[in-house]
Amino acid sequence: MTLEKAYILLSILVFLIGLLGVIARKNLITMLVSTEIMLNGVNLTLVAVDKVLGRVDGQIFSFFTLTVAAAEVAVGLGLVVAIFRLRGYEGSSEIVHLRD
Amino acid sequence: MDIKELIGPIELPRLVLFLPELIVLITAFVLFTLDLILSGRSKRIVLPSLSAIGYVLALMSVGVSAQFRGDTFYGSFTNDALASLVKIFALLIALTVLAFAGRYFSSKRSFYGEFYYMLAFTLLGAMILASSYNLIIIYVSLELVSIGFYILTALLRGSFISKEGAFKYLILGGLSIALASYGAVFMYIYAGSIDLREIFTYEGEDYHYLVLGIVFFLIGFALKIGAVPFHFWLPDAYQGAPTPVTAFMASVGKLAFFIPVVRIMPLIQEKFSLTWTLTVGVIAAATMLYGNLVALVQKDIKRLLAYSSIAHSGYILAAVAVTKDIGMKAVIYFLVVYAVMAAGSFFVVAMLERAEGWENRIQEFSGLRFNLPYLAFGFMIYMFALLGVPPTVGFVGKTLVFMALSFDQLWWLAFVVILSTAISTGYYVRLVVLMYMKDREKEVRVPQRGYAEALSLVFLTILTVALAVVPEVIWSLVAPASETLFAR
Repeated sequence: MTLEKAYILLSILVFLIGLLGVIARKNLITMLVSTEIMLNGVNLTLVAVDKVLGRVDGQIFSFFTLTVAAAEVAVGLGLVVAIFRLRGYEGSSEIVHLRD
Repeated sequence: MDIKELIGPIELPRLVLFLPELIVLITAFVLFTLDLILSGRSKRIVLPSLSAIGYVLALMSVGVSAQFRGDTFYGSFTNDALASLVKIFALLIALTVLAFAGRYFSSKRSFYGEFYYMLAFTLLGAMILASSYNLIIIYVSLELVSIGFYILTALLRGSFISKEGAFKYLILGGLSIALASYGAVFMYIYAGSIDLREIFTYEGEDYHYLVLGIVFFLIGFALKIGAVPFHFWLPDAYQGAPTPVTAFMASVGKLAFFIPVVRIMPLIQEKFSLTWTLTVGVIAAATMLYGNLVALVQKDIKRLLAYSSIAHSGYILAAVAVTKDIGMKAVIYFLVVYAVMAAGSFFVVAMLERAEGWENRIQEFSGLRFNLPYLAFGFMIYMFALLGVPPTVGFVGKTLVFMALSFDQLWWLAFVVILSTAISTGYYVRLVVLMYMKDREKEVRVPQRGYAEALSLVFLTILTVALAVVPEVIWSLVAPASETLFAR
């Protein structure tokens, strides 16, 4: 197995951990953190692949990913605070239920 | 490594191609600053009027930039006929949103300065998303639109349902963006380039990377446009958001999120024609049927229109499955006219919501023609347009989709289109029957109706009929948009 493949497999693993967290967990903050873990999997691939390809586009992409993910999690935490204020900790878990 | 080797010769940006975005960007920053400086009373007049001036200027500059075609910023920004068409309609709808927003928020006894600059930033994101082949630019503008929508959805202070919708949207939006960027990464591994045109013309060996990349990328966009089975956030977000924002999300949001899919449509079809047709066709059929069936049992008008929006994603995806030029034309036409119909129907709801004791229940529509004859008439036209009754744009759109499907002999998909249209009759016609054939349940009175609102509703209603009766106007924009994409 080449180093490139190993890194891609590791990033897939990280990505899947995040995906599982988003789907399975019911805590709002854990769900937010899980989306960030997914994006970190993406970053890992980008940087590892750039080393193999000898280019810099992927590293530039990873900077954008980091910055924008930070913006997104800022909005998410603001929302979590607003939800906790309205319903408290117990009430916040009913958000993850689906309605029809 | 030398920096000159990496970036090549220095290229001056052709700012004239970027002019509409530049004007909206400056408007957004000016609004942001003024929101911090001005006092409460003067904000209410200055912010809406300044945004309106900015959007009108941007609309005019679309005309200027449309005379120049080509790439700029090292090929990361493309100004072509499709981009111009999307920008025209996005700006027009943003202008009509402004007309409704002020009175809607003051009926909630509040004023939100954030609304105006977040609207401008979201619009900017939609405009850039519509005009790029570069994966990084697509990623950043996608996030700009999405984060704007999260904030706009959560705007209503003290409303739990608004926060709930926004949080669901945020989590599933974050998921979709992670999937889309992971797809982008695999495409980058395959071709070593971040330009979609180069990726799809590259002849590499590691085909599985390309397939994996396309699958992830498209799942991400399917989440964004609310295709089944990735639609869970959409009804909650549409219901929770302030109604003018819902109108903006359903029209400009859907328009913008579809454009990257439309852009890779002709590129992808050369390689995977059969698989593409089958996959997209199945998703489209599921989306149409699910959206229409669940809309039948809804009791809340905003949720009903949200499920109708899911169903329309399905109709548009059905045309995306077609591998010919006519499919592309049907997609672009239907996208643009759906933006007009959706904006109009949500605006009517936004006006009704200002009435005393209005709870968005469908039963409240009974006898609306006695209380508000003009509004009821407008709503009837939008309902017939969404259903697809002849003198409206919905009919032309569905006919084009059907024609496109028959060109590719996808008869099963065409049958599903007709079947789901028949199902949708159930709820669209019920609303019209309630408004026109039932006695009134209660007195509905909309306070302080303004000229701007009336003008925008009349404009959208005329557009709903005129774009179908005189299709040459829009066809002269749709046809070159589709042909330049296929010419590559």
